[in-house]
Amino acid sequence: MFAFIIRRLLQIIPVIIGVTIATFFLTWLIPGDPTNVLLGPGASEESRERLRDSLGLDQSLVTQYLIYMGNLLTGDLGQSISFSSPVSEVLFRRMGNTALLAGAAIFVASVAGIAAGTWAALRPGSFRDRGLTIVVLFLNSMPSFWLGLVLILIFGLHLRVLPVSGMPDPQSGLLTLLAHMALPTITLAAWSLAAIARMTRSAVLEVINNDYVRTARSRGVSEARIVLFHALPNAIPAVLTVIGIQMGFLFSGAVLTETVFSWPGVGLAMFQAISSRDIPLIQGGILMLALIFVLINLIVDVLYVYFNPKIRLN
Amino acid sequence: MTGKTQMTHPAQPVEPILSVDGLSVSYGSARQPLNVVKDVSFDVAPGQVLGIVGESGSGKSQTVLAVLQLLAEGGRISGGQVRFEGAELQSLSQRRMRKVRGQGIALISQDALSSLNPSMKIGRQMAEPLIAYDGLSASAARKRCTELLDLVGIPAPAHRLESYPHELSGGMRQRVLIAMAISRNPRVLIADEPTTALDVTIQAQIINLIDDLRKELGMALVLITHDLGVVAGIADRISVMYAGRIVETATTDQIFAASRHPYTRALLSSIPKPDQPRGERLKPIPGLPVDPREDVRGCAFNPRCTHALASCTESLPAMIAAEDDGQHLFRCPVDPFRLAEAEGPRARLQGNGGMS
Amino acid sequence: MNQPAITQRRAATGNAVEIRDLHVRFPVRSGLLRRPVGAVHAVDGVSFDIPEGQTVGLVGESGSGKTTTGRALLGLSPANAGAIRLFGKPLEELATPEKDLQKLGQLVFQDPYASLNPRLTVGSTLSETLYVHGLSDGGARKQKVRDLLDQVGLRPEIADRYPVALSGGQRQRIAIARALAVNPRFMVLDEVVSALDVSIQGQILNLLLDLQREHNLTYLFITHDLSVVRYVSHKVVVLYGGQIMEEGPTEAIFGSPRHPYTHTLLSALPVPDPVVQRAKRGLEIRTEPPSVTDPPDGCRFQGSCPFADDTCRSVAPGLRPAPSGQRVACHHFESIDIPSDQIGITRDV
Repeated sequence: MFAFIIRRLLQIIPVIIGVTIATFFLTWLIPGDPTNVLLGPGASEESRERLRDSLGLDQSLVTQYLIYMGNLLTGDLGQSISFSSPVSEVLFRRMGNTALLAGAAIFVASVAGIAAGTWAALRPGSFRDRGLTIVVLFLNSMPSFWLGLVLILIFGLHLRVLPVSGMPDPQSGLLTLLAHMALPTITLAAWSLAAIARMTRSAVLEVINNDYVRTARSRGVSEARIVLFHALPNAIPAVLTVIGIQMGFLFSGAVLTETVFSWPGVGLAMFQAISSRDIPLIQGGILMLALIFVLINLIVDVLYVYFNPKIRLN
Repeated sequence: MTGKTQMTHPAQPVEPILSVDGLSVSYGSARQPLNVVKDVSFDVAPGQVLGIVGESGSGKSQTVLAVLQLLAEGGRISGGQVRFEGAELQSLSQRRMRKVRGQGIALISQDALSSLNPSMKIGRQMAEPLIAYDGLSASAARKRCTELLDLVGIPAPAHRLESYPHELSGGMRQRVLIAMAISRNPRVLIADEPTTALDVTIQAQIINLIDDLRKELGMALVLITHDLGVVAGIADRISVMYAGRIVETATTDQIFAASRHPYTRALLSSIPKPDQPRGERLKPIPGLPVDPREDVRGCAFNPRCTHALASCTESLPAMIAAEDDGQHLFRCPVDPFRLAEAEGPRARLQGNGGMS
Repeated sequence: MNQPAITQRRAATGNAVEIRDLHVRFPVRSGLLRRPVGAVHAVDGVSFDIPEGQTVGLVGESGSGKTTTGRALLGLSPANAGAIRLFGKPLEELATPEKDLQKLGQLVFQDPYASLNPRLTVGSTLSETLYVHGLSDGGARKQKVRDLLDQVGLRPEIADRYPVALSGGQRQRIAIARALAVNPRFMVLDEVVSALDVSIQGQILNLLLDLQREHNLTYLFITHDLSVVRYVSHKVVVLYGGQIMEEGPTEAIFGSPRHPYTHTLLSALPVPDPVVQRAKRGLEIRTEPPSVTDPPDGCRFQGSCPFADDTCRSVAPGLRPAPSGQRVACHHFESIDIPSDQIGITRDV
């Protein structure tokens, strides 16, 4: 098991290198002088000279890349044009907010998705199963920003029960925080819920028809125990993979939701960066999101192996 | 006539512990049902061994799954009765059936690899119903499971409780299934092809084990198999199934020495036997087994039967009893002398243990 | 049906297959860097011949190495040591190009449900094989497909059907037809009837025997089922733990088995005879599967043999001839006395 984790960590290295190469090349792919790209059109000739020196812009690409990597390893992601502060600072400040939203969304999506998928799988072809399929189709088809706006309309404007934008001060208390989180969480969770519910349904269906479930039944074990202790544990690995992938999407998909709800997270920052051509921030943001995605996948792989003794003990 | 029989000496009738009467099992819609078991009847006396023999599509597994109401999604009992210790089973709710399963009637499935939960340790799987329903504490259950594993011949039983199914060999997994089946002291043990996919030396060990346990624990045994050799050594009575119906029921000796149904006889003739001289052609049954989706008029074996009479296509032959033994039942109107004659000079008419 | 000429043989033109000291090992990897830590000795020094036009039955249980041996003969398992000659030529020479070897020897598998592509009609599957092996003319292919189906006893209409609509026996016939399509001289039949109903196994076996006679085919018939082996084989090779325990003419092996393992196999074999089976109830069969990763010194069978002594545990017995015509790998086979009622064939032997 331990050897497996180490091996997987080592496997990440080439992926990370690949991602950094891609983000590095971003400066060169955008037309124009790199100093324009990185400092904005209004920069002074002095700062441009300094940048050329420190990044080695007149030297070979390989040297530049190495300088870039060196900077990365010390945490220097460049300077954000629109925020006028280091990119790393901007990202880290906002990471927490996005993580909060994404975390809540994945929690809601997982709990509701697994429950709904299991419930439907126990009665395949029935009314509730078909009902679930329709709901899932609906959730899958709705663009997140549309759902967000509709929720704002219903809960914010018509019913006036929930706040519709922004993130409250930490001093305002937990309840206010949850109230502000409610709508964006649901919006963000919708698509993932559909994917998780669908995967759970098919995984449970497959497992519940297995011979070992019949063995348990033949010994008098109740349906409830069968679902909880025989079916779900064997269905979970497949669902876990989907949850992991969804988490990756949630971090990056938060862009639209955060924008609609003005939630001050990485996504909103990215949106603003794109609008103002703040390339360093875009670069840094992509890199960070890619890293998070890779790490989440690693965790999912480890959990998958943990739940599957056959692989674990080999 | 059904498969109702009197178990022992007619002067002392024994009430069968398991009694199946006219059982039918169907899948699919009511308008277009797929009838996989048709009007099956048999009795099992306490402590007796009944062998149910048939090939693929005969419905033998479906029959016993129906007894325990373990049919797959879409399956249902479409007729008949099942009685266990006098009480009717076929109409019981799932909740009531749970009391019967495991404690009254236990099932050993084939394919031990897929019949064990791959992500649960052996000990935990075995102990689950003991702790949850039989009121044993965790340590008492552990002790009992260790005893059971020892009983079925697994070395280092306490250690084995911590293993996962894939860590055991095929033979050991089957022993675990057997231990699980007897763990709640059932009165009837149903073994569904317990030795398929096992090596022949392991097969012999497993069959002997099941028979020994049965005698020791006083259980009745229903052994389902396609292998006539396996059932020859331990069964008291054998029912032969074809296309969802029982075509013959008799004592083991009668089935092998004096069978009255063409399918049984053809089956016996078609098996390559270790003592068959080289150069003598095998006599497989010509044609193909019947498709369970077809509902045939008349006898289902008719297209492949060398003795078919005109009446065989018109109507299903009734189950009749042999003239010399009321417990020997079969669905065939053909004269026994015609059956033996047609097999040619090779047929040994004396009950020599070979075919007649 | 007349008595077939199964015992007639064409004049032997020599050996179709010669195997000398075949070893096949599969590495076992463990640890951080997946280093090989040991090996599974699937085949551990096997030598035998298959005369042309005859059938050798290769018998064994799990871990015996029988499937691996069969595959090695067709270059499908890597041989770590030893020599294989097909029709006088070394396997390595024949194996390039691959197609040449395939034209010489074909493999038919056990599982009739997995060996045919479910998305292709029967005709397409057979046609594809013909095309790959050089028959480019569409019309000629169609005709050949009809011929092949006829040879294996299937009606030509079957060519338009999909495997899912056919029975196990029919699918095996198609698998055999596909093997025949390239006009091979040699076929490895790996448990080809084991998955079929008992009453139709005979149909396939009879077909194989007929084809052997018509085309002078050589067969390696791999199975765990001793009754079937007796019916089709001229010679039998008994494997345990990757080594030969006993080998020789079928009649010798079945009529007077010498090796304790052969005795055990025959005793364990269920016979459709109640009296014989009941008599066997008292027999205790204690054979365990062989250890493949850690083979012991000396005789492979020592762990399960009631007659094993110190010699058996230290020195591996070679194959020695027995008077009845077979060769036996056992130190004590001349002195072991196993009562005939434990042989388990019939009471008449």
